[in-house]
Amino acid sequence: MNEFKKLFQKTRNWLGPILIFTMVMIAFPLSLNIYSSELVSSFESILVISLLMTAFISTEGIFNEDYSDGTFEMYISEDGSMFQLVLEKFCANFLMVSLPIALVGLSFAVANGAILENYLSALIGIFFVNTILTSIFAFGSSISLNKGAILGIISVLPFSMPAVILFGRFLDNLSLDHISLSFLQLLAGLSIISFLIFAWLSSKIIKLHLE
Amino acid sequence: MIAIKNLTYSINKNTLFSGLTFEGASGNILQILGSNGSGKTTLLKILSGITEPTKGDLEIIGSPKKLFLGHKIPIKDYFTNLQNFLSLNPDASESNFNQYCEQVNLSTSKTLLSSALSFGQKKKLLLSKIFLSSYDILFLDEPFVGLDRETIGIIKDRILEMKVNGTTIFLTSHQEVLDGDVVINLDSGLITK
Amino acid sequence: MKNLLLPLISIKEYISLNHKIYPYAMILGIALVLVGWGMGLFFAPIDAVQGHSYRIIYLHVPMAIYSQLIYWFMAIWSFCFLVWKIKIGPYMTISAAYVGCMVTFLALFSGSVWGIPTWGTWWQWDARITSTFILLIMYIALLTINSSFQNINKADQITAWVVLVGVINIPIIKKSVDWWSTLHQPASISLSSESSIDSSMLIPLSISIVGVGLFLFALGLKVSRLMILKREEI
Repeated sequence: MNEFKKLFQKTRNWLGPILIFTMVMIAFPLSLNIYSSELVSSFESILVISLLMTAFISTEGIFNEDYSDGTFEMYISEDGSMFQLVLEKFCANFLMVSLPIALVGLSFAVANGAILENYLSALIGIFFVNTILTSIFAFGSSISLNKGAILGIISVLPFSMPAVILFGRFLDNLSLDHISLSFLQLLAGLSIISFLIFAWLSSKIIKLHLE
Repeated sequence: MIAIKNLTYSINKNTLFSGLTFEGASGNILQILGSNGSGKTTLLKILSGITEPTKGDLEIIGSPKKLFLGHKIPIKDYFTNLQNFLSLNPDASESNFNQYCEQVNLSTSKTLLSSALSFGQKKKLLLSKIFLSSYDILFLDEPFVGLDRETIGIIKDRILEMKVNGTTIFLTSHQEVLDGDVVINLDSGLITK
Repeated sequence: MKNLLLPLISIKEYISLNHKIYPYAMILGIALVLVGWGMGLFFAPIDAVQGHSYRIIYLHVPMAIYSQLIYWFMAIWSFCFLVWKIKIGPYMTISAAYVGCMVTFLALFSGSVWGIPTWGTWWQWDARITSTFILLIMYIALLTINSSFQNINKADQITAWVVLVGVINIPIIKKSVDWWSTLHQPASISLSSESSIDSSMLIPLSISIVGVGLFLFALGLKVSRLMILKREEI
């Protein structure tokens, strides 16, 4: 619960990514001719790229503050479970950043007439993919804790590529209205697995950093 | 309660300390002395389980309630004083806050953001942890730095009170405020009682 | 048995073993590579479809094979390091990463060079190329991670963790990239159509695969020795 409060107070950390996402979503049709067919066809890739960007921005400093002000050290000395703390941080991030972004993304998708026979599966899909990407980038941010973001990006680039490909497939199928329940289940399963694995790894790596 | 055998720590090729052997019984104050960079903080971190030693054994009997307070201050600038107080002491209430403020002379409002606090005031707020709960083992890294004379006295009294109650207290300090039952000198590697 | 395992535990033993093996591996490796490439370049027949340009396989195929194998090698050592705290684990991992990075780059580069005459393009977002490219990024990432921490022990542990996560990632990348490209139009020239290689080409190819392997092994020995000399007091 504490992590929610902390994230909520730091407006920049949750509103920032949402606003940047919105900005990209607004800016992209403005840069094209409004009657152009590119509007629809390029919407998907813009969506993927802006999700990547916002996942990175929202997790860039997710552990930095608690690391540099000694919260982690105090927490571990009291026999607190780092894994649990990281899980809380992730959850706070999903609810306050990923979910709003999924909603914003969906509304722009509708506005651009891009996809969508099935709004609900689009929403769920965007949310799950954002969850996967956020977990991956949070892992990167734990590696590059107080070392600068570049290291984090390089180290998680290979991990985010499969997620991007997966999302591309998802959007393709969505626009063809081929989306099946099993695809959504696949996304849900992958996001839960990557959420747990990367949270566990991040907690391991943060502990190493504290030494 | 806590026993250390042949503890060695080195970073890369640089050995900070080696072959430390001592015991901390309950109700002991163990003072860690040493010049800058001699590894006082590192030793405290190893004892509190944050850092792994390079070699040696660290044995803690039972599952004591521990706390490590480093020289970093985990006070969030974007929280109000009361919020910070409550997140440091989850079991405490608002009246505890007022009471504590009076006790240590912390003159501030509960609704004020903690970014307005000075270093010493933040430290006072942090030290509320040792006033509101009791611990079996306490690791204090320079607890008196940045505090005024009066507060140092209050903290010292509290530490002595905890000692009587059976808390093992590890302490690094440049100031001669408390006399340790055991003194660990990292420069010479000597342990005196 | 105990004597055999000793180099795995003691760095001194490893260094002396390293000294003993290194010259043989290096000389034999270079000799085999020269024989394999000599046979391949001058004696193997011309390919009916691709002409002389196919001869780059004697470089490309070994590199492509080892770019993957080296990663598995690293993963095994990282696992040993994290579980049993084997001291030479990180040295093996990191020196393999240097070699692997070079090998993967060469595999991509030779592939590009080969692509110009055969495919008419030096780069295609084909499944195999893409996954090799991501593998290259992984090697670079591991080396960057390892070199960006002051505390060597910490750097080694973090690197080992990332190597192990990467192992899970390799099949995922492969699968996803396959999936991605098979739904697009298939690559215009497929390698599998000429899967039956004539023995006159196969023999020099296998010789060069073994030779390159030995050469890379010797290179890894050298790099690991340099790393140990830099870091440890022996």
